[in-house]
Amino acid sequence: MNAVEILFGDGRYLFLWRGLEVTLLLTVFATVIGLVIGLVIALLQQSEWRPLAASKSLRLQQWRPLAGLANIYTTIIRGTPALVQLLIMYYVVFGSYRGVPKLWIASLAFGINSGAYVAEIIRGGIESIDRGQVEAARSLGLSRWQTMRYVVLPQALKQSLPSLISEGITLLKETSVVGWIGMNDLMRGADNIRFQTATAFESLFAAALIYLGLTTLFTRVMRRVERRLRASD
Amino acid sequence: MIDIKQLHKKYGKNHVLRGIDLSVDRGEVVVVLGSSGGGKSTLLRCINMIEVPTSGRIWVDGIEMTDPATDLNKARTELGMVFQQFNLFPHMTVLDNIMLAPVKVRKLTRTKAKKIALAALDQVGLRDKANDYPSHLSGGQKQRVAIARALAMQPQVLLFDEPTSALDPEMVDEVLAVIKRLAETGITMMVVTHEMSFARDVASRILFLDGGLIIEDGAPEKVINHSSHPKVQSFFAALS
Ligand SMILES: Nc1ncnc2c1ncn2[C@@H]1O[C@H](COP(=O)(O)OP(=O)(O)OP(=O)(O)O)[C@@H](O)[C@H]1O
Ligand SMILES: [Mg+2]
Repeated sequence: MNAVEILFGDGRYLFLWRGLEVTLLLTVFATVIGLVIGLVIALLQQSEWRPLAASKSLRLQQWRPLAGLANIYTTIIRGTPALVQLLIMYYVVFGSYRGVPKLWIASLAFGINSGAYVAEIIRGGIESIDRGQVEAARSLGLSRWQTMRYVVLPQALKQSLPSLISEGITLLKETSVVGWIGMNDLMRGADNIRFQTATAFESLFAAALIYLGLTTLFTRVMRRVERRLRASD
Repeated sequence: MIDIKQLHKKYGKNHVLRGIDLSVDRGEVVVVLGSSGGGKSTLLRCINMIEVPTSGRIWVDGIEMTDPATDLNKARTELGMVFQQFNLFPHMTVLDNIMLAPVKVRKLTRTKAKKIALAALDQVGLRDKANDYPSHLSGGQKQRVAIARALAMQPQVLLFDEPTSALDPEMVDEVLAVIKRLAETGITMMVVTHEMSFARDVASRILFLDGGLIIEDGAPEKVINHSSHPKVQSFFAALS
């Protein structure tokens, strides 16, 4: 069999085509979930709520439970493989809910995973904003939250945009393990062709090329965004 | 208008303010002088509680800033502050910079806030820059916008922390002229500056801060020419 026959014979290209659809949907859903979670976590990390400020021990005075919780989340998520998190989500968390579509479960798992990285990116953006911005806003009477909402976050998110796109690209590649819970994504599509035709080279390289095409495209977008941002500074 | 009793501020072991007592009346223009690191900025920043005092009490217009029960966000609206580095919000136009606090803090309608903002821009002579972004302005224009932003809250007191120190020399005068005009409107002001001509001509009173204490306090003439304090004498001698 030649490459064309391997990939296109018996409609085998549909494995790749449908797989691509699943990969893209999963990436988009997970990215959106990740952005929402990441933003919330980044804001929790900034929380100055100290419920025990009146206590005697200095350590307890400084205790910021919300920031602590957020840090536990990012530590656990960033310290364990995405595949392990996916399998836990599928077999443990949703273990007794077999009616829930796998796409939702996987989107949630990857979204929660991405959220930890997004949070770190946004945290970096927030911390890069000059203290003078906060001081000016507070001196005008804005509350901590208003200062965050109207002064710090808009600038921080703008700064973070290239890294956030880069995180989306990482996520696209990370989703290639969803075959483990039986989803037919691009990677699994290539695998199916590999099994059917008992050849490895063509199917695997086809998948690699499609991934590469997508990441190249998004990297271009990121570079353009970066250039725009630099021009507007 | 401003009353300070036994104000202390420490940064770790660094005891920056060592018991400031000060009373500023309505309409006074107080210029604060002193050597670098003497605590001038710290004093100003404690007054609006951007920096939290280690001990001591501060009242502004009868409201105790240092009382934990005070709504600081509300109290700060009576204290406009102008910074050395301008600190304009780069992602907003000049107009939005000025309207932000009137809309979000004073809860004015956008129409009303815009009117106030344009009036404030008129006061600093920059109405035609309303729709520009800060990055398109010169340093002097940035600082004038920052002044307009503070004015738009119609505060009782204006605090200036070296408003001309980050400016190119040719832009210093336009900013000082604006501050001088404001001083003539009778608003209470505290100004940290190294501009001696401004101190001499505009101040109703000069404070000299050294080692975290006010070591000289009086009319400009008296402080500049007749201080008995060797540190103050050598400060002015070095300038002339
Ligand atoms: N946030 C801070 N943390 C630690 N130390 C600080 C902080 N801000 C100021 N200091 C220290 O407090 C002292 C007084 O600083 P301050 O800025 O009030 O002086 P200044 O009189 O305004 O000086 P300058 O003329 O240089 O502006 C300095 O020793 C400075 O290093
Ligand atoms: Mg200073």
